Amino acid sequence: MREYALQRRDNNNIIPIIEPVKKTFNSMKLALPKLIEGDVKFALILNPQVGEINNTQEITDALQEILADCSKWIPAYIVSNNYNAIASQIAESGYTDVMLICSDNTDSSDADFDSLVLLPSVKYIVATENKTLKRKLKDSGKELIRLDDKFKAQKRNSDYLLMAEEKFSEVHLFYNEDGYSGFSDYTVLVSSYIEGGAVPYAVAIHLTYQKDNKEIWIKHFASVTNDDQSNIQGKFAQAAEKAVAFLNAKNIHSFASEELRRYYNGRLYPGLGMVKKISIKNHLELMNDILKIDE
Amino acid sequence: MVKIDNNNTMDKLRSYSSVFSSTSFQKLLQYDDYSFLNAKIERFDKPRIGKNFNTYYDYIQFIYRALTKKYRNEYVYKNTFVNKLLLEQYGVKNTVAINEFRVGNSIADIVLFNGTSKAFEIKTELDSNKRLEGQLTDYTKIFKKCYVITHESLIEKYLRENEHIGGIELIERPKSLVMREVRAASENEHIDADTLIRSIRTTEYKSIVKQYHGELPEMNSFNMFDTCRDLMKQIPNEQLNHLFIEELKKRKSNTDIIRTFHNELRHLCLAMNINAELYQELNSKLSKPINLS
Repeated sequence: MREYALQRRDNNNIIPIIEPVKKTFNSMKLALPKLIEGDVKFALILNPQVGEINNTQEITDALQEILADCSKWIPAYIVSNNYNAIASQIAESGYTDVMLICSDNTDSSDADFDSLVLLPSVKYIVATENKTLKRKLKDSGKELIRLDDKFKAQKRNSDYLLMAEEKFSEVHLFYNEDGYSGFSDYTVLVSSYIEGGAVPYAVAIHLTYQKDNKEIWIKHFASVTNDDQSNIQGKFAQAAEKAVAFLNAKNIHSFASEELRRYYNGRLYPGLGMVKKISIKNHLELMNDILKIDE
Repeated sequence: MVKIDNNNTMDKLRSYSSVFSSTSFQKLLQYDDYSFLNAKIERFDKPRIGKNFNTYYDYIQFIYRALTKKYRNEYVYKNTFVNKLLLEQYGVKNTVAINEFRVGNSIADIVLFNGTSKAFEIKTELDSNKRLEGQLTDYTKIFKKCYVITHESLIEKYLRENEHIGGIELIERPKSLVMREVRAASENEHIDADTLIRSIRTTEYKSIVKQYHGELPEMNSFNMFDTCRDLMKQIPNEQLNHLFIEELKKRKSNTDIIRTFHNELRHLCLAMNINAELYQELNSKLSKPINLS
């Protein structure tokens, strides 16, 4: 995120939605100032549903200075079926232009939900495709953002060998026509949060790209010798070789793709965190560019 | 006729057997999360509070005792191994014990590095009647001595399967469990460099190669593994074995302070590699009276 914020040039069509999970807030303290510096408005979830943080206070205390200017960020709340509790949290906080993120157990036909979303202080509502909600919010002045869980994870990274590419999304083509102010995805990550991890048997790089027909597709590049956990560097080399060949063939030159080329050409293994970062950053850059062209 | 009560007892023991998990104790340390213990007390043992136990540690002792009597799972075997063999016979001086060590595609339950290297595979009475062959073939590729640890009633069967492995039996005594070596393992002469390099860390294989060859050739991260594997194959067996053992003994380990832990928790603390300071914290959390509210 923080690299994207400083490399996006004069073009930004993305609002990252960030859920803090660690009580140390180290990565937040690094990233959020960079986003502010790069003029990338972000939404910060103030009631995280996963991880170590117990309440909003912990977040606002730790990040007090960074969050001082409310015009730089959007306060966000994840709504389950606790409509009144969220409403009173918003009232207490005094925030305006708040974002609500609906989850699977949000019942959009509940009367308490109605009064929550129609609060004057609520501006953005992020939800999966929901016709009832769309009708309800028509002409309300609220911005409804469609959320799609697009990344279909395989059980094992080596499974991606069997599926070279698949369709990722076409929502960017129709969201306006469909009555949404925006759309949202989980980038190339699964929607659920998983703490920790182990050395994988296979390395996979996931690159989204746009086909000639404007649809977004995702291509998976996985290592080949996946029979044990050893030689992760060599496995990265195998996956990167295929990914770089693809980037070259498609003539893709984003910051993320150049970074991958640099590691590959320099015979350098950057670590699995970097591999994931490159996949995510490639997606952000792609979506940002597409939205610019469409405007 | 099987009494219905039997089923409940089995459920309870099975539930008890999940208590000794690193993840649960990690949560207790990190978040003060007692739910893994509270849930069991609530479900099975609430009326015993104040009679059989008061503190959380009392409860752990209570559970451990029940398991040693009627449900000897892998944890009971591993912990008995630590108490009866590692501490009382092998000794922990200049020794590194590691829980779950990956060799090829198998995981040895416990491995020891001191003057030699040993791998231990546990087959409890609860384990299905699986054969040992695959796992032991893997372990013998890099460990000098390999043992099976099993119940006294099963030891002969496993020892018949393979003439090279050593045997350790768990014996039920009226008041406690005992463990003893009933057959010595024969020494493996050959160390397989290809398996070895796949079983240790990058820094470790680089260090081994460097020590033998004096320096590392120019490599990049893509060909490092293959380069080091070829160089490792050039190291004579005895030296490779020696370098492997000395390298693994450098791993950060709490083996030397294991005696200072409560004896029910020793293997757990080994698996979590808990240091003295963290153990104090754990101990003080477990010394608290049970609180279900």
